Amino acid sequence: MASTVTDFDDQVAQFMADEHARHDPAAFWRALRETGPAYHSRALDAWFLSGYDECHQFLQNATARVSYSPLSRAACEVGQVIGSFRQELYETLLFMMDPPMHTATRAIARRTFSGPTAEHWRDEIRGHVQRCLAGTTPGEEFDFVAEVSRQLPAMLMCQLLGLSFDDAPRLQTYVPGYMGIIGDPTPEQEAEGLRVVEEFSDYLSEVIAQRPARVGPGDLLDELVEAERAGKLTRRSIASFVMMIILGGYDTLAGQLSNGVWAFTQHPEQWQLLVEDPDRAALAVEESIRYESSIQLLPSKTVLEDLDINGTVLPAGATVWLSLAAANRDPRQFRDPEAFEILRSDNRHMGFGFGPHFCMGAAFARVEMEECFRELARSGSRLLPGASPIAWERGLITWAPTKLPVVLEPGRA
Amino acid sequence: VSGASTGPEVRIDRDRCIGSGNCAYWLPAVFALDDEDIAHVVDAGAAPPDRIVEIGRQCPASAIWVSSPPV
Repeated sequence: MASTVTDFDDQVAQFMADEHARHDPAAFWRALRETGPAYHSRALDAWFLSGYDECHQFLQNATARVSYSPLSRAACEVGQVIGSFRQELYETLLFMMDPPMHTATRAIARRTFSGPTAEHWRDEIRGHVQRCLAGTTPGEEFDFVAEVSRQLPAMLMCQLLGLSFDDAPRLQTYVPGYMGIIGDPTPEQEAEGLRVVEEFSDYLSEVIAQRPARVGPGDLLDELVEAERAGKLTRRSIASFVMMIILGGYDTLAGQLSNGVWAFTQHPEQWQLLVEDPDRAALAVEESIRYESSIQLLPSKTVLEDLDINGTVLPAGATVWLSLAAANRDPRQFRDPEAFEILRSDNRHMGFGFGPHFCMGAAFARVEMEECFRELARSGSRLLPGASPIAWERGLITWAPTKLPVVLEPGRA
Repeated sequence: VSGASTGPEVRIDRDRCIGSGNCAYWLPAVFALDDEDIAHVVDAGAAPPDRIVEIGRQCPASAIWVSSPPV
């Protein structure tokens, strides 16, 4: 019995460290959940929450006793010093912030990301979808990731920032530099990160100086420039803010679109239900997020004071990982959780997270996915897997195809 | 802010609301976002009470309070 536990602990450590161990995350999350809703890894000295209720409690009710900031973790580890530049960056990235600063900073972008603003952009977004789909040939295989999933968020970002679509690849070039400084950077990564942050901030300054006034309601750059005038943000933190939107909204949305379409290729009867009534797209969006979340695991949090989660005490200083993917298939919350069923009712999935850090782009993600699924279904085509192999990003945080060959076969689905 | 119609009493805690828009997305007849993108109740009688309770529970910020559980 004891050896079984140890074996599983090895498996957990391996899953966390090595992407080759992540060939079947759903099976891993199921095994993790079956150890109980809260698991302590001895090898990693970290906790894992995999139950729906437990994740819900942790994210919604425990906010005063949990920190999202890497600075808190550094404070728990004696002798770790974080440079002032990194500290400044961490203090601008919403997903690493705690209240009250988080609350105030998040409010700056509330209008930009609200439901009404997303609704306002719906026709534009449908236009993006149609433009992407027009580039594909009925009956011929195409890579859904390259042709659609990665295009749509890029178009949306450019539109929100008032940039030409041709600038989308340029936005991407700054991502690795920022990614390098989040987490545990080497001195080289930190230096490179600083350079990229300066470069990106210069680029945005140029954009701000050149662009015409307000692009539309909830125009992101205008909101940020206004916040700068009010003394809430600096030019460098505007750059971090925009980068945070790119980091938080690009891969996640692209991945979720792909995961949804992948699920449909595996469940033709569900695709049929959508083709019969394309207005089921909103339900299909929620189910595809529940069934295969592009964010599988939330970046770890630090417990500040002993925290009782459904009878398990997470001690002060503990590192906690939350598996949204596991919670989204918790049989205590969802009937027949391993099934992909777009007509599922009361689908209270946690794919957007929960609590004060609830996905800021959720309204946009919903509109974008809804329009994409609806337009695909409206063609009345069958959605089939292509003959070429699928490739996956087996990230610790994100799980999504990097290549998804599909065929839209004309005729009755 | 409470609803005018015959439904349960529904209140929004403006300090807690993060403007996620979840409530207005699922029950646009009951909830809407105001000029500041904070939720408010349009008509608490526009949906079955148990549905309002259910959507209230889905508020990520626990900003929705519903007076009585459904009978």
